[in-house]
Amino acid sequence: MDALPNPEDQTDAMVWPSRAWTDVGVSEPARDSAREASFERLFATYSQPIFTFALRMVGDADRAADIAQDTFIKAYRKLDTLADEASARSWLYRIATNTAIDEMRRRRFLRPMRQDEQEDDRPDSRPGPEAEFLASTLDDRIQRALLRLRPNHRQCLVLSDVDDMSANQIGELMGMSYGAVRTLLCRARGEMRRELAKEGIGT
Amino acid sequence: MNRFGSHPDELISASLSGDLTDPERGELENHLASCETCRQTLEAFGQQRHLLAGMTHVPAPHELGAHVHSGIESKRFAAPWYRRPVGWLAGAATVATVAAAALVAIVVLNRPSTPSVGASTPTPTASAVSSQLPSTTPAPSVLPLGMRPGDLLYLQLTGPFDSPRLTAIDAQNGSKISLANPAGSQYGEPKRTALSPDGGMLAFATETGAKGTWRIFVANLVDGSTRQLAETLPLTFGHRIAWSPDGRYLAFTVAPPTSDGSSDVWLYDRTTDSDKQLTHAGNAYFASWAPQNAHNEQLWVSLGEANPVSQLAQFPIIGGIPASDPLAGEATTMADLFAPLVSADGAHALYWTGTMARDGMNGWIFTRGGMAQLTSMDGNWKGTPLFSDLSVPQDGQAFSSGELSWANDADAYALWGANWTGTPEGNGYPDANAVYVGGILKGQLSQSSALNLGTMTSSSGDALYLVAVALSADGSKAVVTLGIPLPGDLVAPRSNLRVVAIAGGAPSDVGGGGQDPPPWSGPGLIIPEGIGS
Repeated sequence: MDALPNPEDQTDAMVWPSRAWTDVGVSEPARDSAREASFERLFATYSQPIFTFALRMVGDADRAADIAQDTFIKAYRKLDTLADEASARSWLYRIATNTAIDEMRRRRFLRPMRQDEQEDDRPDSRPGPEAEFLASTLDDRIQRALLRLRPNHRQCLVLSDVDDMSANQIGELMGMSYGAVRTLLCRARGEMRRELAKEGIGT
Repeated sequence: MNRFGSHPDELISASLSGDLTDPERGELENHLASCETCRQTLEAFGQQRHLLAGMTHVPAPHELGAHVHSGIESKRFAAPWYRRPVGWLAGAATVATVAAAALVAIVVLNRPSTPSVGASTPTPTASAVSSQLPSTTPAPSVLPLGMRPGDLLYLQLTGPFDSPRLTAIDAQNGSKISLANPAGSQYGEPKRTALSPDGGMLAFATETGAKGTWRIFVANLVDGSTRQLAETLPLTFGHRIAWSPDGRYLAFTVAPPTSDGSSDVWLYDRTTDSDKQLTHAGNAYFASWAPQNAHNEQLWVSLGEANPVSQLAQFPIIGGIPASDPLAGEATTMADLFAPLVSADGAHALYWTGTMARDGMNGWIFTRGGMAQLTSMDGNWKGTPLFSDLSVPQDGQAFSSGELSWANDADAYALWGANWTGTPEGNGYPDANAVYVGGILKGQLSQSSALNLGTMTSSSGDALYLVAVALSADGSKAVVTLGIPLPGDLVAPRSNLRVVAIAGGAPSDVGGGGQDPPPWSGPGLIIPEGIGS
């Protein structure tokens, strides 16, 4: 199906002032301080949402903090490529997505041996799956189900259900058409339904 | 059957994020009416969305800002996780540097109005880190919408009546941003606004529905994203919303629409994008923020009682919204005063005195001796009645309620929307539709302090009603929102937004765009000096 018109295209475009930091002809120090101010605003506004997004993607607060940190460092370096702050949200999420996927990829290839894996000749004293299930909070079970989804399914589901983005916004930051996002989201929801059922949630 | 096969799962999925066209919605509704399987799918997908959105909020680590800054400064990325010793905290920096950088990050990222948070505890490490950081000195930063001090910023609600849109507009340069409508809430007429000290966020309250409940929102003026914080009964004294001096918190009063009018104070924390109930008193109202002291955020909370009291709630600057009720401890308590509104410099306060009673779902109002007072904040709270020419017998009828505002210069103030139940002291004086403006140096208010608001009827002859008043930072102008009565329910709301010079002169209307009647415009505010720095 062809991409439908983006309903948001019909709303008033935000007028970003001509006095923005991207201006040419502005003196260097003024531009630098405007750049810092702009970056601080992005950080103040988006550090929590980006951290939460990363947390849902990887399911671990330390790793999510790493991803959020790297996302903002990259964003700072690329700040000049951001056309205007109105598109900052999808721009930042795009950087965060790529950073998270890189991190997951590296982790798969370079996963260090954990202490308990090196000593697996000892009897396993860890709780069995049933005990783990019983000790889990609802959040743990949802997060486990989420982590069993394919990364692109997880990504679009989190963007839609946690970050409340429309198919158009998701398409913009995942580089997909509106129709393709709808199809992907539908598959992700179907897969998530099955995974949640394995955790004893829903039908 | 339909073009998606036997079960239109894709339409069900898309319906959750509002991604359906009207024909698709019709198609889906028809199908759902006759297909149990799809009704179950819709329920399962809906539950999923609910579960995911409702997962416990985990705050981003406090050190994140410091780590980002040191990462930027190091000109290279921090070592990847697999080359780091343990976990995240043991990353590139030593614990001492992290602590010092975090201190600076608080200054850099939270932009307190006074720089004393960092400066009061200097350490050699802190200054060393500070010198490496990108410029931390206040610089003329770029505000959203290209706003500049002195500009008029206002909200405009445009029709149709059943799906109105809300836009924030800078009247001077014409820049505007459409505010996204959070799922599940429809905007009504905006009645109050509060701009964060950095100019990035606009909090506002709208009135909605037959019950006239108020909804409180925060909008990001950079990208237009908006979040609904609360829905509340429109309590007579529950309309104040204000940002803390450091811009981190927004305080407001919530009386759940399902309640009988019992209320408590809530805070929104911008750094975690979350909100939380602060008090658990059932009769608590947010009054105003007081300046921070060395360690604490401070806000005045008033308790509606026959003899009302106000308490100074405190909680640490570091650590977010406290889990325990700050009123439960040893809070400073002032008897017989209600809703103190502290001036921007913390030197004066306006407040109410009198005997109160519950007025059903409107909450607490004054029944006897209600009067606004002005005091200097020397700890004595010895107020002077705001009006010189109103006689208020201790046990007699006087004001039942009213609204108070300060200008940012901490000199000019206004009393408006005041309901007087006593014997009028003049022809229609005091007038609920008047704005009485005074100043600390000017002395008390009188009948002649009422601003000339201009024509108080619409082009069709309806009497305008006063909605909101904001004074400009220097106290020279008032921005007044005047509602126009609606001829019926199926009409978009409308209002005049009027700028009135306090020294006199012809008021001017803005925001109408030549339309008659104009769309709802307001409330408005004048961007103060020093915002964003």
